[in-house]
Amino acid sequence: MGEKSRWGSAVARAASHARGAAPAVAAAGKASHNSQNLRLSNGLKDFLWLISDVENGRLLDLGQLSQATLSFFIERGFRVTTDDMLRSWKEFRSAEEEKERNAPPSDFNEPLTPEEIAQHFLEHSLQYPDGEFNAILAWDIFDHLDAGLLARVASRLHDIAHPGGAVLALFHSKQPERSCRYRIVDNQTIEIAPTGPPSPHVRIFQNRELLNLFGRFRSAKTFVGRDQLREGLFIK
Amino acid sequence: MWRKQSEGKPSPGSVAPGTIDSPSYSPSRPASAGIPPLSSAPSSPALSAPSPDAAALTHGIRIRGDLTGKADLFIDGEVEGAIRLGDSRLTVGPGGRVKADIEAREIAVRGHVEGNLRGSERILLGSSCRVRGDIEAPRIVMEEGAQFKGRVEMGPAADVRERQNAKRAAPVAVSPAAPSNVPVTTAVSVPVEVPRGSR
Repeated sequence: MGEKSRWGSAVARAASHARGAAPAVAAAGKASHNSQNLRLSNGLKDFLWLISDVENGRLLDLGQLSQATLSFFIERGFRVTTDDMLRSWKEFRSAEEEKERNAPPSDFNEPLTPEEIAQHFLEHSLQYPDGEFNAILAWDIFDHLDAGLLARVASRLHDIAHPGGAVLALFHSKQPERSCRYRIVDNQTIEIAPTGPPSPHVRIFQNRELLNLFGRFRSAKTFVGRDQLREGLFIK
Repeated sequence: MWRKQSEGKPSPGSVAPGTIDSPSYSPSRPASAGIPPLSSAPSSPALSAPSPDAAALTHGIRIRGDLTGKADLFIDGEVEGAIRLGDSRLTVGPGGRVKADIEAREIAVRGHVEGNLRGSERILLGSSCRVRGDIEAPRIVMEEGAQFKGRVEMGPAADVRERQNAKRAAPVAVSPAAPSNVPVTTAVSVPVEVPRGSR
């Protein structure tokens, strides 16, 4: 099958998925969306196409908990695991800092290096069996992670992704005004909602850096929108 | 005029001394200011109020062991063990700290829970809740801000599995009067998933 016709059938499949969505979920979604925050997402469309044939799939959502996203995938037969990674990372870091503050002064208490902290964090986080997930929603977590964690997390995502599995991630191309949370509205729309305080400084990736970071994945594709948000789709 | 207002009767919106300040009221910030609320799951009235005749484990009480029963239960204290309430409702209040696997008809959480939650009817996660474990129920409602880490099983699959478990536990009664051409349904022990596009 040619690439174009394959693409066409995928879009049709995705559209039929949307038509088949539960009315209750669709109605709840439509009632609550702010149209200013909606974004048409080619990355999401591709991501859903890649996993559209998966039976009894497993999805890992690394963003903030969202009932809309959860329902979207559960309606499509996925088992969903949620793990708000940025929150876990912030909590871990504050706990480490607290421990350091409370530690008795001693010559032997050298502060941990960023790499050691990252390693400790990953000993307790993202501990899923290898090849567990057909789909992973990483949202914009890579923009916010410390340098010591980036490569390790990307590598860990590769490990826990099923062969042929896909990772969808977002990357800011310029400093955002506020932190955001993301949720899936339909098969090609993401809602990006600001969540209060001004965003802490985020990392701005160059394309080359992204390709290096996700170098273990079989294929990488990025989409750039007018809103300075880049979408990355990585396939194991 | 300013003095009059400050010394006289409190205006409708101001906070009288000795009263509890409403969290939504802030003198330095107009009510309309701030970030528009995220489009969120509507706050369930059932989530904010446990049933009045529910048994209560209030703040300061700590229990270690298994809790079973047939009455609704409200927990605002600490529980470590297992909780099985069958057809009743469990509410974990904002002060509740529960380290237990929970089974009940309906589970509403506003506090902290570490353990697997299984609701035969529904599970409600409030905005202040913090849940670590797997949850499984035919219906799951989550408010914005709820913190949850774990696996979710929702919809008919959880419902069917629940019924299957009940069938397995109950003795099977076969009616001798049943006509032989009526298909007999039996509980199947394979894991059940939500059929794709079935809803």
